[in-house]
Amino acid sequence: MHVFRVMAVLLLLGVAFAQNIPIMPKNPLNYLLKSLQTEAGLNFKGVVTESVIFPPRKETNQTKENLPAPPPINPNLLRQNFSSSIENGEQVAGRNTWKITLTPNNHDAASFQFWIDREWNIRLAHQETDFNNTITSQARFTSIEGKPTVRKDGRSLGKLEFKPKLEAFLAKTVGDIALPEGFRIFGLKVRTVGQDNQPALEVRASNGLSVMVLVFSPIKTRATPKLAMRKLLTKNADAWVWVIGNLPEAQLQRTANSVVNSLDLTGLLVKFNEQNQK
Amino acid sequence: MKRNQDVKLENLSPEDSSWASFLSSAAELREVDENAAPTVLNALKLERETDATWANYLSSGAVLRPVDYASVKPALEAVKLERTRARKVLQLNIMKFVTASAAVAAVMIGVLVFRPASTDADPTEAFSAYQEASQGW
Repeated sequence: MHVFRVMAVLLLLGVAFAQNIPIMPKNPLNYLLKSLQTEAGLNFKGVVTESVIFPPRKETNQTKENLPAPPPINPNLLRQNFSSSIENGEQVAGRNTWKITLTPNNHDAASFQFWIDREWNIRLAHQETDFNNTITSQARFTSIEGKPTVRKDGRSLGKLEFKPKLEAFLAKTVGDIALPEGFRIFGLKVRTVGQDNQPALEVRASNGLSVMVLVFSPIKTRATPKLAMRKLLTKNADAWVWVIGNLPEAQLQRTANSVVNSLDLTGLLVKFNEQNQK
Repeated sequence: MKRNQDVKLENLSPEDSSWASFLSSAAELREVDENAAPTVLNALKLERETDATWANYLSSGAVLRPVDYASVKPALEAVKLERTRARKVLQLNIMKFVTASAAVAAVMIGVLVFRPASTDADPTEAFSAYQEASQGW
C-alpha cells in the first residue's frame, strides 16, 4: 500500500511540475523572509491603493506605484513571537497569491498578513491589524506594469540584530525599561525635536516585526492614541519620554512609567556619544 | 367776510370764540387765510379734545401764511440741528468703535506674530520617528 501512496504523491507532484503549478510552501516564515529578500532585489511597479490609520498621516488613503517597505525583521524573534500560517490567497491585481498570516503570541501586539505572488515570490498586498482587530494599515496592487526586473541599487532587507551592549547601556542609564512581552531593544540614535531642533534620544524596539519607539525628549508632546508620554523628574532641565507603538495605550504607558524618574537627558546624550565613540 | 360767517362761532368756547373773532376781524386776511381759519380752529379743538399733537396742526397747515411759517421755522431749524447733532454723535461713535477695533486687532496681530514659539512638539514628530523606524529598506 505504501508503494502505491508514494507513487500517487509522486504522480501528483509530477503533474504539478509539468503544469508549472506552484506548490504551497511548507514553512510560511521562511517563505516570507525569502520573498522579502527577493523583492528587495527587484524593481517593479503598478498601481497600489494604500490606507494607513497608524501611524496617522494627513491623507489616510493614497495611491502609489509600489507597496511601502516592510518593517525591519529579526528572524529569530519573529519565529519566537509569532505563529504563522499559509493558505491560498485571493487574486491580487489578477495574479495568484499565497496568503501568510502572522499572529503574535502577545495578543496586545499587531498581527500581519501578506499576499505573496506565487510565481514571482514578491508581496502584492499586506495588512496590519492591531490588538482591537482594527486594520491599521493596508496596501494592495490593483494593477502591475509588466514583469519585475533586477534592481541595480543593491537594496536589501533590513535585519535587526540583538545588541546586548546597548541594552546594558540603557539599563544602566535609564533603568530596566518594561517593554511589552516579546519586544527587545535594537537601536539608539540621536534625533532633533521641536521647532528649535533640540537633541533627543530615540530608542527603537521590536518584537521581530512590529516596531516600538521611545523618545527621551527635552520637550513634551501631546498624548494621542498609540502615543503615551510621561514627564521625568529632573534636576537641571525638563525631560519627557514619549512611547509610540501599535499597542494598547495602557501598555505604552506602562513602558513610559518604567523609565527612571531622575533622568539627566543632557548627561544621557553625552554618555551615548561617548559610548558611540568607543 | 361772508365766508367767515359760515363758521359756527356759537359752537365754540369763549376762548376759541375770541380766536375766531381775532381771525375773522383781520381785515387784511386774504381768501386763502379765511379758508385757513376753520382749520386752525379745528386744530385747536382737536388738540384740546383728543390731545393731538402739534404735528397734526402743522401738517394740516399747508395754507399758513409766511408769518406762520416764520414761527414754525425755528422749530424746524431746531429739529434739523438736533438731527445733525445726533448724526455727528453717531459718526463719532462709529469712529470710536472703528478706532477701538483697529487697536484691538493690532494688539491681537502683535500677539500672534511676536508670541514666543510653542515649546511643545507636534505628535507628528513622534509618529515620524515610528515611521522611520518601521522602514525595512
